[in-house]
Amino acid sequence: MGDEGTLDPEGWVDRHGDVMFRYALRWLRSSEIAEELVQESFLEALRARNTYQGRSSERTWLVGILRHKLLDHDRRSSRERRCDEREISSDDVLERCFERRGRWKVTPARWRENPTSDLERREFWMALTQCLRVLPPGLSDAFLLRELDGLESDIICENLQISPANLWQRLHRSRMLLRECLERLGFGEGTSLPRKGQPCAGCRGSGTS
Amino acid sequence: MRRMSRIWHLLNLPCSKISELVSLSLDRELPFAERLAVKSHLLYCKACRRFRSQLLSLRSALAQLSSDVTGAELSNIPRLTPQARDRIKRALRDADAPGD
Repeated sequence: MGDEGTLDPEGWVDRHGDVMFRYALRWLRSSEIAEELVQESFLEALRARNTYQGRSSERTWLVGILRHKLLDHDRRSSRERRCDEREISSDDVLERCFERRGRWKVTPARWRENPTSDLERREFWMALTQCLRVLPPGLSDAFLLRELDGLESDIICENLQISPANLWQRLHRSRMLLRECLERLGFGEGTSLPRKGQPCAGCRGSGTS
Repeated sequence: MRRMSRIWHLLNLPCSKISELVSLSLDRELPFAERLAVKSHLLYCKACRRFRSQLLSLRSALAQLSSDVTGAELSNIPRLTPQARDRIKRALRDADAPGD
């Protein structure tokens, strides 16, 4: 057994319940069915817990069970999932950041370490949340599955029905947009605090500063 | 000769391409030649070093978002409702009870 948590099924819900719910929700777009399938997956995992060898992480194992449930659900409901290889527009963030010869137009700022006080943390989260809203849905889905939920590329590609190359392109653009947005909100040299009163609309389409 | 020219090409990649590789390296291991290209570029390019450090900060911030109460409240990211969480835990307890 590679992970003691495996012996603690109720702990699974605290540690992985939200991640599994979001994964199912992005797949199904129905929170009721998502909750139902997450519950079924945990029950299935409980029955199979003695077979878990610890070769993959506890989260990967649980999401793997959920993935089977989702595929079964698609088969039962004859739901056909379509590949979605379209390029998501990200407002030419790459053109804004780089010169034609590929050099940075503006050197990225040095960000301070993670904020520590309650006030700093609150303002940091507000800025990050505001910037996450800047991402088009096709980008934010990929980005959050990867960075918030820590899922591996192949599992994300299956959920979003995209190729690995398309996923990596989405992740790169998301990161470029977020760092640009955070800098515009004041995450510059020597400060981790966003400057107040700067709307995030300024993150988009206004060229570089 | 062709190999040398490829190495030369990799060692002279512009920041726009290096930034892509830096981003990609967070999601999968790069092949040796590309790893070398990134490492050597970062030695002399402050802008790309800063970019890499920003991406790592973003990753570490996002990893904390769901466990940080304030962050979770503000972010409005979908989560299991407390009722659903309790229901699932109850179902697990019932299924795990001796005699089942």
